[in-house]
Amino acid sequence: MSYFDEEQIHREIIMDHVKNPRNIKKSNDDYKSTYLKNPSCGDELTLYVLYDEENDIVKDITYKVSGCSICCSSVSMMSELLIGKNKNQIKAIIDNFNNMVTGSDYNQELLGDAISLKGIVIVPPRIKCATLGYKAFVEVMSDKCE
Amino acid sequence: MNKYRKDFPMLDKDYIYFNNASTSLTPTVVIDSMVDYYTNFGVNINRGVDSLGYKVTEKYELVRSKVAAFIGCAKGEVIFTRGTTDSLNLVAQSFGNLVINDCDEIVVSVVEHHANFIPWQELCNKVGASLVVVPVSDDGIVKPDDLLKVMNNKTRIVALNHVSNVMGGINNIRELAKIVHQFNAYFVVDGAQGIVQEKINVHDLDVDFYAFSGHKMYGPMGVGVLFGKQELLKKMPPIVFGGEMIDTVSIEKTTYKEAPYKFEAGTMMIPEVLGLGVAIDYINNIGIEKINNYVTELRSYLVSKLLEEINDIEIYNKNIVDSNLVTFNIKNIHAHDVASLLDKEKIIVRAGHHCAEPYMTALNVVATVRVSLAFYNTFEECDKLVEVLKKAGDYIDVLF
Ligand SMILES: Cc1ncc(COP(=O)(O)O)c(C=O)c1O
Repeated sequence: MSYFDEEQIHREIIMDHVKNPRNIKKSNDDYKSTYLKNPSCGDELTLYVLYDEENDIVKDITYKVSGCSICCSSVSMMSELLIGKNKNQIKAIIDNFNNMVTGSDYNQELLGDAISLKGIVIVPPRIKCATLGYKAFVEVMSDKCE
Repeated sequence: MNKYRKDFPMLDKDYIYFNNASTSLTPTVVIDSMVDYYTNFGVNINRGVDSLGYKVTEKYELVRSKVAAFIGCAKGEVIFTRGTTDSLNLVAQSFGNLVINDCDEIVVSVVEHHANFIPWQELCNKVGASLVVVPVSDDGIVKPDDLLKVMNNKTRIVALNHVSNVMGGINNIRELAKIVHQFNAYFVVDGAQGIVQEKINVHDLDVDFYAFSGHKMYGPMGVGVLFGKQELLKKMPPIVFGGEMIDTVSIEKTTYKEAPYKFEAGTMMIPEVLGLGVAIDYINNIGIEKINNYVTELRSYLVSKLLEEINDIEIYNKNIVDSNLVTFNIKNIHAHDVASLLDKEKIIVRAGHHCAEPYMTALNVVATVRVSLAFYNTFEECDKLVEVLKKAGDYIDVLF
């Protein structure tokens, strides 16, 4: 695949998530949630996670987000990636995503659509946009462990 | 005005700098004056009896006189601070504490920068006073009639911007001051943006306090000014204590110097103060009116070109004429995506809430893009901006 084909595909993936965000639905009291904000730009996210502790599986994720295309698409991609996974699988995904955006080695097999955001590595000021969702997820789950 | 571009070393780095309301660029003469201090003086002011120290003290005090002449007040009414934020906090903590009681009201506008909002909010919370928010026009201007509506005999302080950093419109300070004083309240003006926008005379305008920063007027960062009327400064207690602001110190009791010295505790930012003096000379040499006539013309060129050529643009302050900034959004595109794309083309703008979150909420947006111009910007640079926006597709080019 040439660079330009890949670029075109990645653009389409991102814009598809911006225009058709996945997993937007109503949550209920079984979901744990957290609110995060990037104070400098005003990206805002409330993330709701339904985690089945007994079976160690993330059963569902939904969210309310307002922000730039990178922030919004990234949360949408993340929700697709993490639903149905257990804690260890999720840790691997988040580590790989963080490695991708900060320029370390990563395994793209694990990242699904989120691979389309790999260009973030050349725009460090936007890393915080791409990682807001993952940060929120870690925060929700850390509450779980307490 | 292009001939002045060579004065600014940052301008030959192939960026287009459109973020002047955040901080302006610094001309070589200002940078040199600070280097000169460290190279040829390097000592503290007001201390001891050495001749170098004496010379620096003279230079430092000369800047105080320059500032006084620049804004039309007495030398003793000029306090050097770290910047607008520091100046406004000083007024709120010292003067505010002195005059505000629990039943009193403090008026601010919804478009204030956080620096002229939070210090008053904190003061109100501390003493149990009320913070009253005066609405602004669609252009972000505080209309005298609207101010009149919120004033009453409980109002003790009114704190407003001279020029909003989001909308760029100029408030009619003279008219507003009349209303404030009619109710025997005090008028604190945030001049961070206004100081470069209009030639001012604080006594003519009849403001009680006026705050501004060096770094928005081609001067250094880390220095600013608080003007306060002499009789008010006299009553105000210092809020920072230490060296050089004292008269006598004993174990039982300390007395303080007169204003403004009692407010300048410890070692001051001497090179930055000297740099500020040079920045004032620099502005005076070109002429503040000439600067602003050019910037206004450049801005109206940019506004009409944007409206003509960019689909789906919403310019929030298009009706303002006397302004140096354009605040806008492109429909359905987040401000950060726009700014990031411009950044890729080496065009530097500001995107975000501009430290004015209450107003962003009032505008019902989370963020806007702001292009703010200075006299060294050119028509060609404006063309380039429009061209880049015109070509933009999905605004995620930065990733590729
Ligand atoms: C209107 C206004 N007030 C206050 C400030 C704060 O100035 P400084 O950061 O120099 O203290 C700014 C700077 O952005 C401003 O635009």
